[in-house]
Amino acid sequence: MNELEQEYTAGFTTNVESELTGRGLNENTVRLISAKNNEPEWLLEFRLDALNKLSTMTEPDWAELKYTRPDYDNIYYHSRPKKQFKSLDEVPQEILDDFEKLGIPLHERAKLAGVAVDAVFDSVSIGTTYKEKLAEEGIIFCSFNEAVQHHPELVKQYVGSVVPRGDNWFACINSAVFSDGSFVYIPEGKRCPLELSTYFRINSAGSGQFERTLIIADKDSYVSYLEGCTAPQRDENQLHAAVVELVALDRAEIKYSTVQNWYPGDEHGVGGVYNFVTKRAQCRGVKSRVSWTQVETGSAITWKYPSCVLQGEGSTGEFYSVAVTKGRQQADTGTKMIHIGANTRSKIISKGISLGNSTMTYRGLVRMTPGAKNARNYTQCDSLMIGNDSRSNTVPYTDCRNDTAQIEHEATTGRVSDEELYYLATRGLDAEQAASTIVNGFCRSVLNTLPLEFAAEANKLLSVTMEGSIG
Amino acid sequence: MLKITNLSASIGDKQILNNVNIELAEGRCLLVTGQNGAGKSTLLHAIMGRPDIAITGNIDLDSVELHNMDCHERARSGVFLAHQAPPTIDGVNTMTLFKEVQKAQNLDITTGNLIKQVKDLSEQFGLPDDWSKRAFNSGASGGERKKGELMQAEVLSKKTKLLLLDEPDSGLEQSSRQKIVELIENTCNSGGSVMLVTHDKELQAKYNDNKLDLNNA
Amino acid sequence: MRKVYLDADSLDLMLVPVHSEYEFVFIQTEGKCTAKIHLKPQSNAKFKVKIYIYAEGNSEVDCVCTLDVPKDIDGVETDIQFRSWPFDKSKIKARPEMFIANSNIIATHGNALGAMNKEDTYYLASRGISDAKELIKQSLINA
Repeated sequence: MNELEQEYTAGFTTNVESELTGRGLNENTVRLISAKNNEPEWLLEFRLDALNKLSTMTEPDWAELKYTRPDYDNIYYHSRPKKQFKSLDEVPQEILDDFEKLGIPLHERAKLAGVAVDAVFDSVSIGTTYKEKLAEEGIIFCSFNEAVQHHPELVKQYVGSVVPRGDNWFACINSAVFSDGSFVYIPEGKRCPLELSTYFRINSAGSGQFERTLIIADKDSYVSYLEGCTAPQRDENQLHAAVVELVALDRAEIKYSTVQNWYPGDEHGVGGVYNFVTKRAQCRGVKSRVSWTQVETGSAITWKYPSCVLQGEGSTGEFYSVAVTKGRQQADTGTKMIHIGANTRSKIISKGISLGNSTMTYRGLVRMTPGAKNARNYTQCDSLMIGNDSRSNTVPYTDCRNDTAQIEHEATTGRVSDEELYYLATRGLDAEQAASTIVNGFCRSVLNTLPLEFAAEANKLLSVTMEGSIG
Repeated sequence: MLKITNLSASIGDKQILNNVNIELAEGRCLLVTGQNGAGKSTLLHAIMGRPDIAITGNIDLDSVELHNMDCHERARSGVFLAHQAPPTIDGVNTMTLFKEVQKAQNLDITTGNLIKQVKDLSEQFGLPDDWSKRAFNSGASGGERKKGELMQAEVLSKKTKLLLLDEPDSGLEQSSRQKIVELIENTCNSGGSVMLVTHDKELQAKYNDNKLDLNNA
Repeated sequence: MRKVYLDADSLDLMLVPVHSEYEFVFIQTEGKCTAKIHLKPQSNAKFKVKIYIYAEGNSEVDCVCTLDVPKDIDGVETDIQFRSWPFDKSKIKARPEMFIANSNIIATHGNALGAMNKEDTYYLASRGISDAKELIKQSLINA
C-alpha cells in the first residue's frame, strides 16, 4: 500500500486511480477484478473474451424506454463497499419510516440499511447455523467467488452455458466485470430443506452492480431461492446489470422468486437505479421445471425478461409477474419461453399496474420450434392503468413453427371500474382502500405463487407503493 | 345387424372394457348401463373409432368389418355418434360444417333443403337464430351443444345404420326427451340400430327390454 | 368488413375503425407474407377485429396488428382476436400489440395458435371428414 501511495504522490494520478479502483471498461479493469478475486486463468480468459466481444456489439435501444445512456468509461467496475453507517442512528429517517411501514423486523433493519454487520448483533451465528444445515445435505450455497475457489469444476462446467457472453450488451459487460453473486448446487435427489435467501449469504461483496448468480439443480432435486427484499435499497451505483443462470436437470425443480424495490429516482425522474438484468433458465432435463416469480416496484428503469429454454421433453417453464410503475418509472419487462423439446409446457401470468407518469410495457416471446411437438403455452397478461397520465404497452410475440403445438394468449388493458369502486364505497371503503382492495385482487394469482413469508411482505409492499397514488 | 365379438379396450395402460359381446338386430335399441367408470362412453367411442382407444376383438356392422376402418370411414359407413361434449371449433362456421359433412358422406341433400331443415329444426329445438351462422359451438352452453348433436342426427343421418347416443339428454328439458324418442324410433323404423347411454330414468324404463349392463359384462 | 388475402406478399394497412367489426383472413399456401395492420381509433370508437391466419406447406406469415391509442383519444372499446393454423411445415408469427396512453379504455386481445387438436380432428372424422385442414381453409375463404 505504501508503495502505491508513493506512486500517487509522484504524480501518476490518473493511472493509479483507475488501476486501484477499476474505472473504465478496459482490460486493466478486468485484470484487476480477476486478480483481486484470485481467479484461475480460465476465468480471466472468460472475462477477457467477453470484453473483446463487447467491442463488436452495439448498445440496444429497441425497448419502450427513454433514458440517458450510462457513461461506461466513468463507471467504477471494481466493487466499492456500500456506504456503511456505524449505527441505526445514522440511517436517514425516511428509510427507517419505510422499514416501519413494510414491517421489516427490527433485527433485520440494520443489515438492510447498510450498518456494518459486526457492529450489531449475532448475524454471524445465524448465518452459520444455516450453512451447517445445508452442508449436512451436501448442498452448496455460497458466494460465486467462494465457489470458484472451492468448486471450480462445477462453475467451469456451467457458467456462461445458459447466458453466453455475447448474448446481449449488458450480459457481455457483466461477463467481463462481474464481481460476485450467489452459487447454488443441489445434489441428485436432494430437496433443499430451506428457502435460500440472498439475505443470508455471508461475504456478499456488497456491489449489487454486476452480480453473477449460478444455480444448478441436479436430477430429482428441488430448491426455492429468494432474491431481494421489500426494503427500499439505495445505491450510488446506478447501473445494475446482473446475470442469473439456472440449470435444471432431469426431473429437477427450481423456484426463483424476486422482490425488487430499488431506489426509483426522485419525482423528476433523476437518479434511480437502472435494473438491466439477464435471467435465463435451461430446463435441460426430462420433466424438469423452472418457475420465475417477480414483484417489481422499484428502479427508475426495469429492463428484464426472465426466460426459460425448454429443452428436456416434458419440461415446464412458468413466469409470474407483478410490476408497478409510478412517478416517472419505466419498465419494459416480460419473458421468453422457447419450446424445443416435445410435450413442453409454459405458463405466463403478468400483471402490470401503471400510475403517475410512468410507462409499463409487457414484452413476451413464445416460440414453438419444429421439434416441440404437442407443446402448450398459456399466457395471460393484464394491465391496470390508474390515473390518466401513464402509458401501458403490450407487445406479445408468438412464433409457431410446428403443427401440433398450441398457444393461447389473453390480454386486457383498462382501469379500475367505477362500478366496483362505488360498490366498495357503499360498503364503507374510501377511494384508496377500495382501489387497494381491487389491486390486490388483480394481483392475487401472481402473489399466491410466492413463498409464504415473501408473499406477506410483497402484499405490504404493494400497499405502500400504491399509497397516495389514488384519488 | 351389429355383431361385436370379444371386444376389449384400453386407453394408455388402463384397461376399460373386457371381452364385451353384443348382437344387435336391425330396428332394435340397446340400452347400455353401468356405474361411472364402467366404460359406457368408451364402448361407444371404441365403436366409432376414437384414435386413442386400443382395441382387440371384432366389430361388424352388416358384415362390414368396422374394426379395420379409420374413424371417418366408419362415419361414412353409416355410424353416427351424438357426442356427450362436442367441442367448439374455431374458424369453422356451423352451416359450412353441415355442408361439408353432407358432401363427405354423399348424403344427397341440396343446399337449399339443408338450410331449410337447419332453420326449422333450430326453431323446434329452441336454438338461437344466429346459431348456424356462428363458428361451430362458439359461445354455446352445454344444452345448446347437445341440441346441436340431435339436430345433426336428424338432418345428416338419413342413412344411419348405427346410431350411438352418448347421454343425449343430460341438461335438456322435457321436450328434448321426446325428440330423442322420435329420433330412436325413426332410426329403428328405417332399419337402423341404436345404442343408448343415458341416466334419464324415463328413457331407461322405456328401453329396458334390451339392456347391456357393463358392471357385469 | 371482411377481407381475404390469398398468398399475399405483404400488406401495410393503416385503419381508422369506423365499422364495428373487421375480419382479415390470410390464406398462405406458399411464399412469405408480411402483414402490418395499424389501428388508430378515434375517441369512443367501439370495434372488434378478427385476424385469421392459415398457412400450409412451407409458407410463412408474419402478421403484426398494432393498436395505437394516444392520450387524447378517449373511451375506446375494442377486442382484437388472432386465430392461426400453422399446418405442415409452415411458420406463423402472430403479434397483437397495444400502445395505450389513455386509461379510459377497455382493450382486450386474444391470440390462439395451433393447427388442429386431437379432439377437433376426431369430431370431424366422426362426421366423415378426413381432411380437417381443407375444411378450415375452405371455410375461411368462403364464410
